[in-house]
Amino acid sequence: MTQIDQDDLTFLQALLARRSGFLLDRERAYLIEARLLPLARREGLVGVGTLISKLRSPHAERLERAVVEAMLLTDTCFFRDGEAFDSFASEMLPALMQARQETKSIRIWCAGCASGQEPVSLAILLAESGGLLGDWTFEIVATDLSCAAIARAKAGHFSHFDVQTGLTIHRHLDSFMRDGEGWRLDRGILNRVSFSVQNLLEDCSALGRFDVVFCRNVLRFMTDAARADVAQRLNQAAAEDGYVVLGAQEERDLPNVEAKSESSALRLGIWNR
Amino acid sequence: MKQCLVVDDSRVIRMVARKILEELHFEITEAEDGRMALEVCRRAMPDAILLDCNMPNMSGVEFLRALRRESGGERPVVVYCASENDVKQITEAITAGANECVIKPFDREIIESKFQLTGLV
Repeated sequence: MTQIDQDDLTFLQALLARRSGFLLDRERAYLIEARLLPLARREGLVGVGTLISKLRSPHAERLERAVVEAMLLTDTCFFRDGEAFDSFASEMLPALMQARQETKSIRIWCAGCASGQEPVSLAILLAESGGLLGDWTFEIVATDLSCAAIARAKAGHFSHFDVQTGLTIHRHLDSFMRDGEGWRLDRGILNRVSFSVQNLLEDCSALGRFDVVFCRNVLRFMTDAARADVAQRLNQAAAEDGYVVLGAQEERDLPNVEAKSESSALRLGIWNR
Repeated sequence: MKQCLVVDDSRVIRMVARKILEELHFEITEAEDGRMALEVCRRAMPDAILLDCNMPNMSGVEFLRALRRESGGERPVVVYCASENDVKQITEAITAGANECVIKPFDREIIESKFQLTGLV
C-alpha cells in the first residue's frame, strides 16, 4: 500500500472537498493508491507522493482536474435500486401528467449520472410507455462532474457486463445491439437524453427547473458542507410540486435543507420512505 | 433455503456457479446434461435452474421444452446461459420457457442481478 504522509493526505482531502465535495475518509483511503498510482505513472511520475508534490506547485490546474476525475466514484448500473423506477412510473409520472395537462411537458434531471445508466433506464421506461405518452414531451438532462463518464455516456456503448446488470433480457435485447466486444444503445433511446458536464458545487440554475430530480448515491460521498449545499441546490432546481429522489437513507442525513413547500418536503426521497 | 439445480457439462462452470449461488444462499444440486437434469427434476422440482445452452445428450432448449411439459415443471425459475453472440438462441430459449438469460462469460454480479430480476434473491 502506498504510504502518503499526513500533510499530503490533508492536502488531497482539501483539494477533493473544494473541487468536488468528495469526502476522502478512512474508508475510501484505498482509492488513493488504486486511482492515483496509475495516474502518476501516466504522468511519468514515480508515485503518489510525487504526484501530490506536483499538485502543490503553481499552474497545476490540469493535474488537479485529472486527480479529481480519477478519484470520483462512478459505480452505477441499469435500474439500480428498482423501487426508485417503480415509484417514478407508478406515482410520480401519473401525478405529474395530471398536473401538467396544459404544457404536456415533463423535465427530468439526473444529477451525478456517471456513465449514464440511470438516465438511460428512464429513457427505456419512457420508450416502453411510448403509446401511453402520446403527444407528451419528456426531456431528460443528465449531468456529471466527470468528463470521461459523460463521454462514455454520450457514446451509448456499454460493456458485456454493464448490459447484464440490472436489465432483463427483454430490455437488453430490445434496447441494445451487439457492437464489437460490447453493446450499442438504440439511437432513439440515446437521443432522449441530453448529457453534459456539470459540477454540483457550482450554480446549476442555467439547467432550468425540473419536475423530477434524481440524485442518488451522490450526497453520501460528500462532506457535510457540500452535502447541505448540493441538497439545497437540488431542492431549488425542483418545481414546487416536483420530486427530488435521493438514494436509500440519504434524505435523513441532510443537514439544513428547508423544502420549498410541504409537498416537496414530503416528496424528498419519497420512494424509500 | 431455496434449491437451485445447476446444469452444465463443464465441471469448472458448475463449480463456479455453485460457489456464487451458495453465497446467495441457495442449496445446490448439479447435473451434467439435460437428460440427467430432467431425472433430478422428476424426483424433486427445484426452485431455480441455471441452465447451460450446449450440452451432450439433451441441449438446454430441449431440456426446457421437456421440463415445462412435466407435472410441476412450470414452477422452477429458469435462468438460461447462452453462448456469446447468439441472440437467436436466446429468443429460442425464451420461447421454450426460460425466465431470464445470462450471456457468457458471467460473473457473480451478473448472476446476482439476474436472480434478483426473477425474484429469486
